[in-house]
Amino acid sequence: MIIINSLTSRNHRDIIPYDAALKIKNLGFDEPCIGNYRKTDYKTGDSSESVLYLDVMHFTMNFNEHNKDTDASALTFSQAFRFFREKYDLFGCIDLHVSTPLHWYVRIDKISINDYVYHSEDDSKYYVKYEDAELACLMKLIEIVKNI
Amino acid sequence: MNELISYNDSLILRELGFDEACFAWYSNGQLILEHHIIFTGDQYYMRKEDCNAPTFSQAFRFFREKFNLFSCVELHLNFPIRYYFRIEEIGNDDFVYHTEDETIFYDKYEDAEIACLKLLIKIIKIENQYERLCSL
Repeated sequence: MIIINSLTSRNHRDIIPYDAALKIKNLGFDEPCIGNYRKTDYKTGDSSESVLYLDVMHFTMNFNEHNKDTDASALTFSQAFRFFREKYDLFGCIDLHVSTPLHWYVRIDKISINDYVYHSEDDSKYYVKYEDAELACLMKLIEIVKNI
Repeated sequence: MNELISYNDSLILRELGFDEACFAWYSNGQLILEHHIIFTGDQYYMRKEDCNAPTFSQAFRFFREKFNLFSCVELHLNFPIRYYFRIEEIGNDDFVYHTEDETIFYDKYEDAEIACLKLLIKIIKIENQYERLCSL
């Protein structure tokens, strides 16, 4: 993925990847975002990689309103998890399992029934990095909603 | 812009050593979004009343990575639906703080998140004060 506007790798970690952004757009996400993913680099015409365009002046811009099918608003992880809480009644949570070695796991609850629908430890899935668990949680949320 | 932490909390995070690049910054309390400017994180040249404006994710990551403190907003297993939060020292099989123990609950996830951040700040400030006193 190419990133425009010299975003550093550190705060890039706040924004979900292109594939996830596209899937969430198709699930109905249409809020203002800090940036936009385009499948085609409008400067070079290259469409082999998605391009993240950041435009902080347009923090209030809902890119998905005008996007082509292959483009998607670039939302933050916080926005994505809020979207699933508010629109699909699903609460995604990353938690720490104190064991040796220490690892992170994912739990997804259905808010209205107050019970979990997924627990990564049931699938023997453990994550060394918090960020890996966060992404896995997001992908699982997408999968659950698609299968509803 | 509820992705970003408040001005006052941002100022304190700067004091505590937060120095990551951010999407925006505060100039004397005013949120500034600048086209094509993504801050490098270096706040050395900023006035003391200015600071970078981290997202909540950045702030919580800062506490995990710099102070070894993990926090988690959780859904309370009861009705009505409410949230609480927990703070743990990573690697230590015991939590530092649990709002459920204090019977403190939040109707909104975002309120729990803000309260959690404020408590993380408070914990580190108290630790820093204690270390200063010990070094006297």
